Amino acid sequence: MIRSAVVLVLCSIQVTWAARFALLIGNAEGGSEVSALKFVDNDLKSVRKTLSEYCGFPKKQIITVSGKGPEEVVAALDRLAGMLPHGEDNLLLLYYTGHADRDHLKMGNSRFAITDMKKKFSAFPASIRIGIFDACQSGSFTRLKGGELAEPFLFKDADKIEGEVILSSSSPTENAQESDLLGNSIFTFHFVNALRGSGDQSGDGKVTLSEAYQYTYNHTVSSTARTWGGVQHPSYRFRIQGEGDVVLADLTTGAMGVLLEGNITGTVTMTDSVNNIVADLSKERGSRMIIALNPGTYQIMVGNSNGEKWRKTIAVAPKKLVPVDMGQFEKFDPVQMQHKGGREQFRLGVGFSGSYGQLDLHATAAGLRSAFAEFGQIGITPEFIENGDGGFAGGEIRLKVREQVVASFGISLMSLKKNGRFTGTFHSDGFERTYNASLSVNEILSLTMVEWGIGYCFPRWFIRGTVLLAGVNCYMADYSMTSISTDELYDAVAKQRFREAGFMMIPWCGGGYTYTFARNFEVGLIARYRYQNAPHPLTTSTPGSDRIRLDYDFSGVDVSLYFSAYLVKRSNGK
Amino acid sequence: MKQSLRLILSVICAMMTQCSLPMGGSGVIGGHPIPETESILPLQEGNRWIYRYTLFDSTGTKTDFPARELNLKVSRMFLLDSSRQLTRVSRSERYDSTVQYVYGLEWDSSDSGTLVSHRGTGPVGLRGLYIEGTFRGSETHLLDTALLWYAYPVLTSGFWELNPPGDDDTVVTSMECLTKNGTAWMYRQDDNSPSPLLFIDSCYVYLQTSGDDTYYHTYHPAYGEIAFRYYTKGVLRESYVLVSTSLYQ
Repeated sequence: MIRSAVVLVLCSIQVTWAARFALLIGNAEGGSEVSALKFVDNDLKSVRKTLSEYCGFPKKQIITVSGKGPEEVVAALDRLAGMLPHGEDNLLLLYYTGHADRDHLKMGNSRFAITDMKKKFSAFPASIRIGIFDACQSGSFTRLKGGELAEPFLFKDADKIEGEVILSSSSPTENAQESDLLGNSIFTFHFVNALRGSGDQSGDGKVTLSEAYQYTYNHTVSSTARTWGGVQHPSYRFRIQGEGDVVLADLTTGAMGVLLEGNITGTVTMTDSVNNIVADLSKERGSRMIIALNPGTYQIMVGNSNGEKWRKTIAVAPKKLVPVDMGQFEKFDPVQMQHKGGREQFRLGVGFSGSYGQLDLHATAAGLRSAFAEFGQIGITPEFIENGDGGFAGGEIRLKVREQVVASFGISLMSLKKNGRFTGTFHSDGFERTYNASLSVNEILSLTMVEWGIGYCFPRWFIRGTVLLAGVNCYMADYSMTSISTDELYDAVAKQRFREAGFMMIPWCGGGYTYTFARNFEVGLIARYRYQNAPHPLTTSTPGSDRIRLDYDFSGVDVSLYFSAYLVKRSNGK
Repeated sequence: MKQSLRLILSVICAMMTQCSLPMGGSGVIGGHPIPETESILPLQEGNRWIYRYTLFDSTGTKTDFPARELNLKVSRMFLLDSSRQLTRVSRSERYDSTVQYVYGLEWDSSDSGTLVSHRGTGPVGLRGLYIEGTFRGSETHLLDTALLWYAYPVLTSGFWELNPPGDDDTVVTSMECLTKNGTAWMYRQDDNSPSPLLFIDSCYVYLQTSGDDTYYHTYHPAYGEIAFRYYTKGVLRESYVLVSTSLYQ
């Protein structure tokens, strides 16, 4: 009620200001009792860019103080004050993003008392001062922005402030939040979008302070309604002499972006090429709206109250305003659309993997040595593959359900080869003459590893992306050997081909880390331990009663690196 | 081997010309035969052996002649009656353990060879593979008495002569069983093992001496002759080793 009344008053007259100055303050750190904020720099950059491009703030009149303490802030304010031209109506916009509690702005390990800040702000020699404070106690989807709950810090004794408008990002009992999805704090994100045109309710191409506030309020509330941090209600306080509203952004001259024609009605959502929301607004029929956008490709989605949706992709060129009307849109089935922000139901991906690990073939070599033991009679002691350390390479399919349960199926290949030639000498019966003998051995062990695994991926906190897995590997082994022996006595050249193939299944467990990037891609590093209680022969369909069976031991450790590209299915809703 | 056979055949021929000579202690064995499976050479019509043959020069160095194969087979089978008359029988007609059988050993399909038998009764040392005579085509020539070729089994090393006693014009050919625990190797005929050679223990190694010539024959009852070496004055001149067998017994 009060808010509507204020907006009504503010909207009655629009006031433009000749000289605009801004002080942008940000600090991701708030001391040891709170965790560092993730998107403070993004907030500062997007506010600075928007102010300079669309809001009439010359770049040289915008001072950014990032990661500094109260002294630097006061110094910056003094510097700005020194830049004010005499005899003009001046405007100061002070923006703060960072940690705070009810009494202090938390700037790293320093504290800036809110009362001191208010004194400096109120004493600033500008005709109107706008304070925007995106700070309080909670974090977005994710990250808290402060510590204990506190009342809105800037509304104490607000009546003493004159010629000031103050917006804060939350109400007394709420926390302000950051959003991994948006890459900004939620309040700032919507405030910037408002200035870039989404807040232009009147459709006149100008965004006033009240329009920006209304837009920011509505979208901050709706964006935080389903977050863990809880719903977040921005607050305001104003005291200006006379009637009027401040035009913060003027998009009518030289803006580049998109012009939404009057026949577009309903909810309008714009996303950029990496699916970030850049505008989200409700548009009425008849009004034209300019949404300022950077050069690039965007998708515009329009929805009505019946759940019908239309979409169109546009390309914004530098210094161009792209007009779009409803006739250019294509209707689509929203059920098949992957809603940004909806909870991920599952993702199914294909990729490739490589692993390097230990493969102990001592048992296999022992069997071979036994088979060739009699060659010792003619002075030959052959050697065989014993150390199977090597790499597997292959492909895999991964299914991740609700970002937590992981199932994988992969096929990898590995091949080990060894060629050797061994010589010996012997005597024939009854004579002292020495004869030479040799044995050539060519071994190839081809392994196909079929892997099934299931595990749990931690979705949050500092162990986000950590995964624990267990499964079964089926090793399909194909061992072949060609051996050729020669001796001088009989001039014998005996050749033998030996082959055995079969499979063996062994369990494994492991863990590692997965990292998702660009939403649909994932890399992971997994360490596994394969367990086999003892070496034993392959399971084969062609055993012979007299046939030598080699023992294999596939236990060991390997490290696997994989890359997967996913199709992602999300639940409906933002 | 050919020289060895020629030697045997010459002995047999000499014997045939002196068929009235008494055999003395050189291996006249009477009594009943024993199953052929107990022979040092598996005797059954159709049995075949393939050897790799190598020729060496006078220095014992392998010649440039390419190694070649020798083929030995049991090409025919006879029934020997008490009056030493041979009757051709086929494999399907046997086996009657009360009957003495004679087998024709033929090299390289020459349609000629040696008639041998296994005589399994009598004192140990005098049992074994005997030479009964020769054959060429359909003709057979039997010795009056069989000559012990390879004594089997033996308890200890044995010694016997392959010559007709009293033949002073003939170079004495003596036989000796050097060991019955020898080891030999042959080509492996199956893929049960990755090893290309099959090493065989408990082999009988026979030494045949005839003047400056010495012959080493390595036998095993499961395979027959596995390896052979021929030396002149201590220099290796010929050898062969068993490559494969096709045995019905």
